[in-house]
Amino acid sequence: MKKLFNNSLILKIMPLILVLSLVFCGTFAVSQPLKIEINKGIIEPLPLALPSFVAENNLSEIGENLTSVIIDDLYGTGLFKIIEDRTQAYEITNFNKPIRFGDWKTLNSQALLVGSVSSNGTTNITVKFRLFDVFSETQIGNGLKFSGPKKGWRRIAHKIADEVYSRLTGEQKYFDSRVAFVAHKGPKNNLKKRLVLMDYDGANQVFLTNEEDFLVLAPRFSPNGNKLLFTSYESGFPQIYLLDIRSRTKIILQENPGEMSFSSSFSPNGEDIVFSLSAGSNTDIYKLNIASNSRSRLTSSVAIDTAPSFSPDGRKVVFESDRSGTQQLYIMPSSGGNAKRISFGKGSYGTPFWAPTGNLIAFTKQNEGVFHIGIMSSEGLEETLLTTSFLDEGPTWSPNGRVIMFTRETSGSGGSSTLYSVDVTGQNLKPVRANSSDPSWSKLLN
Amino acid sequence: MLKFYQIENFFLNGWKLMKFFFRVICMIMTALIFACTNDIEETNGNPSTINGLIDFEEVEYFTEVIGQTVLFDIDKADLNDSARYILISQAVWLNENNEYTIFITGYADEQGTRGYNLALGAKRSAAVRDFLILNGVKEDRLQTSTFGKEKPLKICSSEKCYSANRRAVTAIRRD
Repeated sequence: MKKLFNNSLILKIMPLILVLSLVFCGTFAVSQPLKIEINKGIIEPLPLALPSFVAENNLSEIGENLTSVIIDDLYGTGLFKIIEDRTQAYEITNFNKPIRFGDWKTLNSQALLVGSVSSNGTTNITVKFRLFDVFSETQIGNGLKFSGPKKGWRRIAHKIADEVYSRLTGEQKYFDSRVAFVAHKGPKNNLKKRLVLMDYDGANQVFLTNEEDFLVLAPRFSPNGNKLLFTSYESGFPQIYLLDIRSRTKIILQENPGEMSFSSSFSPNGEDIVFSLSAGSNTDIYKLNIASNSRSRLTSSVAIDTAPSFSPDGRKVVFESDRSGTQQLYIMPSSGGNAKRISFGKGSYGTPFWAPTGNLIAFTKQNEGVFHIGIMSSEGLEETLLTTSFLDEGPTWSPNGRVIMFTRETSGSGGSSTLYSVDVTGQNLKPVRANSSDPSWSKLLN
Repeated sequence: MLKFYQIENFFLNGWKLMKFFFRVICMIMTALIFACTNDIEETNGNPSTINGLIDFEEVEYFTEVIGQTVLFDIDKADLNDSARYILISQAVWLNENNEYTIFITGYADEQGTRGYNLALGAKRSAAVRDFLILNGVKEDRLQTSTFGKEKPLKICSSEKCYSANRRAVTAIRRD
């Protein structure tokens, strides 16, 4: 962390910080709603009691599983401390019984989540939850009920964790989401790479290509999450393919003799893609309308222009170019035209990725022999480096713009790639999946 | 660029003479290299086989005597002198052996992002292609591709390996 967020943001959240300090001071009867302020990096995680969900009708295993996924989601943010007391007092046996707040106060929990799982038939479950502010003895938001097939219990757990996270932080949700990435197998000089989908937490992995298939790189989710763009060597050259996730059918988007295409990403409405096209010695950025297959050229410098990413409003594209002599970040209108440089720090910058919130751009920075994942405002101000390592690259944003996932590669002949995630505050850096690279985080699932 | 055109002019003017000398030099070089390293084996089957001596027309002459690989400086796609030397030899061989199509692939070391390195590999393969064309190889025989930092030849994380990985490889296939 080199710099904090910009001043306007700090001003905006000042009232929250005030509320927070009151909450953390502890013994007040807090009249303001319980809320964690997470933009400054958390000093102390919020103590949350999360007793096992009350399981009816022999659903105790699902009840335990639901509880444990919700705990993992919330604990995994680094913003919550889960009260681990397992005494009798910690148990909830009846979802509808009034809460004895005194018990929970003695455990020093500030928030309490209770839930239940029941089943009216054979395949469906109904999961209910209520969230409480222990000190003010009030319920936070309405109780909610989710119904769905038993095998979809993980998504229900993520949805509940999302509700809790959102209610306690004021942020948008992100747990109910998926990540597309490339799984690695084998030694560094002969890696087998496969396209894989997983839940954001690594569960429910689905392999979309086989080991013996062609080399695949850099998947990118469509805005509705139904399709993936990726680069494949199926034709012998790097080319962009579009895969329909449900039907597993794929089409090649651009195939002209002498051309190579890669580094693709969708427009916010999913109708266009931007990508790099190498023809001759030059690599420029192009836009393709998928339906009409009509292509327009957005840059025409003699430099390497690559890694384009749309702004969430679709009006601009940020990309990297070495037209100045080193790789730097530029923003241009999404119809092409004048590009304005936005990166001016030391070293080189690449793989810019516009945040879903629109105000930030994540990037890879290479300087003095090490790599960083960083963020800057969409005007190129307030550069903040979040990570440092031998090789970090390729950031992708969580649906709510709070977390960044990226690839970290270790050095040497035994080096390997791992997916990592880190908060935009620079806190909570952690590995997500070993032997993997090129993550693309979906939007929140429907 | 001056140097580049000088080489080109030299070739246009002295093309036939050069080819002759080149072939002679290549044959002598080959003979010398293998005379030093390989003894003539006694063979029961084909008594005319001299192990290691490769005829100019052989694919092995291209792949082993001339060499398929040229190397690049860090973050560069310019051809240095030793790359040009190899590529001139490649061009002479390719012009003599017209039945081969040529597939050039560019690579990068692991420093740098995936997309940028793909573009850099493309630039390197294009540099080789353009140089071969300038030296008489027909454009329609040439195809280029890039693997970026995929498929490194050597896998340590130091300049020793990086320098070997920053390469363009000319592969040939008989149609």
